[in-house]
Amino acid sequence: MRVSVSWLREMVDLPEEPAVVAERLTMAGLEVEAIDEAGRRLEGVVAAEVLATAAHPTRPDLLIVTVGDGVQRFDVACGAPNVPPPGGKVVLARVGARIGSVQVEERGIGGVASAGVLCSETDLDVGSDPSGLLLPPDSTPPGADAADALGLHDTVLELSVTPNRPDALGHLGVARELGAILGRPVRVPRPPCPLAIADPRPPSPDVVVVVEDPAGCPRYGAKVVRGLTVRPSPWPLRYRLHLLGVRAISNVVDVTNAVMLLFAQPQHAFDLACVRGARIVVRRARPGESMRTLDGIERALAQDDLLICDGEGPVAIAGVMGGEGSVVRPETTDVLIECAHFDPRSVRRTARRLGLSTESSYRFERGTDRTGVPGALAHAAAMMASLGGGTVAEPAIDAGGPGPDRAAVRLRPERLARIVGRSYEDDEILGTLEPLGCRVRRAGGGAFDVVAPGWRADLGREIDLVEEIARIRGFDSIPATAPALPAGPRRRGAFERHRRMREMLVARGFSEAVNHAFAGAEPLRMLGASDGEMLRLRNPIASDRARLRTTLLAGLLANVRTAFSHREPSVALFEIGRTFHHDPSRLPIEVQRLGIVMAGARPEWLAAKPAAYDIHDVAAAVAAVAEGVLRRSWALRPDAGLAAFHPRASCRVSIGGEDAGVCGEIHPAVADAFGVPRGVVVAEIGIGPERFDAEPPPGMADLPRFPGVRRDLAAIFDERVTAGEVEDAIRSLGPDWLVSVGVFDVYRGEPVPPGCKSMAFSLLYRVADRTLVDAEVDEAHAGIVNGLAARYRVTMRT
Amino acid sequence: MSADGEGTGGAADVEAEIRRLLADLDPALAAARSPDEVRAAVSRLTGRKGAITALLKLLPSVAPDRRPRIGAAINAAKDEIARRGDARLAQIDRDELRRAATERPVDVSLPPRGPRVGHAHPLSSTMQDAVDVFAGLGFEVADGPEVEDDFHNFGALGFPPDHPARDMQDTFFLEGDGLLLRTHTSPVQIREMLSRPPPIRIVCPGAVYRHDDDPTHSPRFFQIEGLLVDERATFADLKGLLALFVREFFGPEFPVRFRPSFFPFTEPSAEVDCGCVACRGAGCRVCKGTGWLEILGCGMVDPKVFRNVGYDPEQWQGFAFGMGVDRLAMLRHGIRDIRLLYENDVRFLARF
Repeated sequence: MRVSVSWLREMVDLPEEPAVVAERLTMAGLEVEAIDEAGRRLEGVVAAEVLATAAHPTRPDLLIVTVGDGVQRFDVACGAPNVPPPGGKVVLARVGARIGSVQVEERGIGGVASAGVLCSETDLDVGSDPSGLLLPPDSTPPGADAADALGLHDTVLELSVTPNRPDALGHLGVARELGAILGRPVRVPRPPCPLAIADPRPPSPDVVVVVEDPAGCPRYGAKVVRGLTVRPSPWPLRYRLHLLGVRAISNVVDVTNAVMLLFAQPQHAFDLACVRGARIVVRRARPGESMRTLDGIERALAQDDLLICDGEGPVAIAGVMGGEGSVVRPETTDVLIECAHFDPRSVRRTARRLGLSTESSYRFERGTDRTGVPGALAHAAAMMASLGGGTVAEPAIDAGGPGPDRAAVRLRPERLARIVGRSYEDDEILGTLEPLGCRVRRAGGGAFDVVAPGWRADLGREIDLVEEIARIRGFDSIPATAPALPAGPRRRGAFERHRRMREMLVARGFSEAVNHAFAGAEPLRMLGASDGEMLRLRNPIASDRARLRTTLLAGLLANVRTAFSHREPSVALFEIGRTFHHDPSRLPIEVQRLGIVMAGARPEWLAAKPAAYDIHDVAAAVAAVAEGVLRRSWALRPDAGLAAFHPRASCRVSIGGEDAGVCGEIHPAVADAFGVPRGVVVAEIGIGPERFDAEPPPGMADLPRFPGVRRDLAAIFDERVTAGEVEDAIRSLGPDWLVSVGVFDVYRGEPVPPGCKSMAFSLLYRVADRTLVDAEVDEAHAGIVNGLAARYRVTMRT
Repeated sequence: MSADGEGTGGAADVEAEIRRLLADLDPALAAARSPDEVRAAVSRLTGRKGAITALLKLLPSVAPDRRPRIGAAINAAKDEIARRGDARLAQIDRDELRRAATERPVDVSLPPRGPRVGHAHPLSSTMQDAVDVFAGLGFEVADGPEVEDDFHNFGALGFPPDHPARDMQDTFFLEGDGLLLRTHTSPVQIREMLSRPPPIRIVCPGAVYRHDDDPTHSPRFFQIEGLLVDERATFADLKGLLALFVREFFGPEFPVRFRPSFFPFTEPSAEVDCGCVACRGAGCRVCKGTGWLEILGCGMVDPKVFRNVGYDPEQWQGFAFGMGVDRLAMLRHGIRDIRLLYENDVRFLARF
């Protein structure tokens, strides 16, 4: 909302600088986002008197106009149709003058030098009429500064008005707010001419108003002005509208806009001659109905849309936009002014459905003052009659009336103090509420009964009054105290777990990614999601971001692609976030997950030819998280059924004995589709709170008191035999005092035959109550060696 | 030395012999270049076949009255030989260290072995730091779904249907069953209040979604909201708590101001401004010349919210506050375009 300080000053005394006014408004809740000093854009632009005109020697469409600024004469080429005769005044931008950031230069036009430019409204950016010269009053002295002569100086405040304050969408509301903040009286503007010029003929024989939908239109006011002349508004009104962001059109339309900007009451002017059947009907649209709005667009209407109709059909979409058919034209003489109160929700639904937000719908959506309809209507009619020379027909049409009186709200000062944290004197309470327009009566027990004015629909409860007092008296007057914070539970759950996971992975060289939760269907499908599982957005940012992610890997792979496009040799990223999965029976399932991706060269120390990351690097990270953060055992189990993975390295991850996710090398075809290098390795595991809530702290067992005996074992196996299964076999072949088995070397090449590999294992034997003797270890170890030889037909290398 | 120690001069001979052997030892040790050579030189005297050992074997043949003196002399010689050997070994060690340091020093400018640490995302480190301030004051961390329904995201918080207040939070809707992506973390507060009686003291960090995409608005971003409900929490307490937060998070040098505002679920409502962290209040591009940065929204929980969750608004009162983690992170690190936070360019991440 743009607010003119000069207009505010007509209603409330504001001797202070506009910046101070802005600060007071901001600190009371009407935030001023910008201050625009109007009239300062012109430099060296002056009023000038026309001294003579002559034909241009080469250009028949131009005149050479000789003007004087009281000191000097200037010959200026001009093509405007309204150059006044000698003695008339024009606006001259001399060579060297500045209009905004543009400097006027001497130019030759058709072979004749022009010593400046005679200006139109659009040239000066003070209006929207480009058709002719802007003509200052004839009384303007030549040489006077144009900004002074045209009254351009004003300050416009850009207010950010919160949705609860529709009253501040009019200057009077802002003036009232300032009156309350500053403790100054407010002068409500009066219509510009007395109503004595009222037309004695009642309008009712002319126009009948029928409101068929009183819920959508609780009050419909209308007034007729007859016999006026449609013409441009006087300059000050046109300029004010321009400053406030509204295009000046004609006296009739400008009046409706000015009244809206003053009272926050949108109005619409119909050419009475075009209101067919002399009837106004307010009703919902009928099936299949459509109308052409005054922007020239034919709009299909929905049955929920509230319409203003004449005897034959729609003439306006209520509260949103008028129709083309009844628009005021130059030849219009009789005007019907509509000022109504529409249901905010209905206007909002229609405006949103049509994608059409207007100054009018914006205000109706937020709620207009039903009680203020007659005042705004009378103001508009009087102003229109004054500017257009017509007469106002009395009485006004008023369907619906002001509605029931508002109930009083009880305000308890002790409640006020209990919420705010400081107490207020009675005169502070009265001194706040009364200037805001409330009627305040003392009730028993120190309480007050408060009736808020019609323009403050937001003041309907005690807490609303608490806020008014707190904000108008100033939040600065409220102390900052320490809240009582008794010791309580320190429940941090998953947040704490994620922090430790993050620290663990960062320490291991990973960087953290945070991706959007949106994805395209195809990437998710490639990573194994089913169509039925994906959640779809109704209004996505883009069609390739229309699904919610079912895996973190889609985002992480895209990050790898970005990194490689910047020629990063090596990428190790993780993300902690949620994935989303459709569940028809309840809210979608959200799974908290950890995703890991590693691609490119392992950054090995001074290695001449660094090896690429492989699945064991990812497995190390999974192990670190499982053991170090989740405090659970983990295992990888090959699973050839994972379509997104290379069949040679495709695993399910189990953590704490339960299936937790996947780990492996991305399938070459998937890698190609994502534009990442082949061989990228990933893992994704669920880390949801339901699974990893705190365990009881581990108990302590006695440390072994006797030394164990360590023996190694190496053998040549077929390539397909895994270390894990050999370890299992060793365990099953060994005695129960074989306490640990671990692979420590895998070797291929001479003298191991092709298709085979040598694997070496380290075994630890130990009993709790004595030292083992060599003979018993030898026997047990030989049993394992023989057992393996028999099971795998292997050659032992020991 | 002969074994005919029975002679009268035997004892004196032994002592002379010891002196001679000791005198010969020094050049031998000096010539030794390695610990092995030192040990060999020592062993030639005190080893199993060493000269001193041989003298010891003669002891029984020495006259009994002289034995203690001779024996003591031999033992003293053994100790002396060991000491000189050890001294020479230590000398060789020192020489070796000196040579190693001068001839083959380790190049400590080489990079350390193993992976270098990675980088936590600025959003999560900012979120952790902010949550830590409140957690330190006894606020619990609470969590809830990101896909929500209208009731928890809007209705219970006092956003009427078809109300312009909803324009403040342009919403992503899911196809089908009336679900949406939460536009703020406030539904977590509703779920917590519905699940248990007051008092409540929680912070809710998490991802939220609004239909916006430009240099200062991301369609997905992060919020931290807080809620405190008891029988006496006041607006003055809210001011005190948030002033403390700003001091802890940004530092004590930044002023704080509370400006009236509007949220459907709080009343009175306020925006909290902090002195601009870029220009320290002088006015700059970051604060649009005002010297202030809007960093938080807050207010006293509206009685209608309490009624919607079944709390008696005459008994219980409290406040709620919320802040954008992205904005805090951008201010803290001087990040100008929010989209950088979600591109995960490793060159960007490596700065944190």
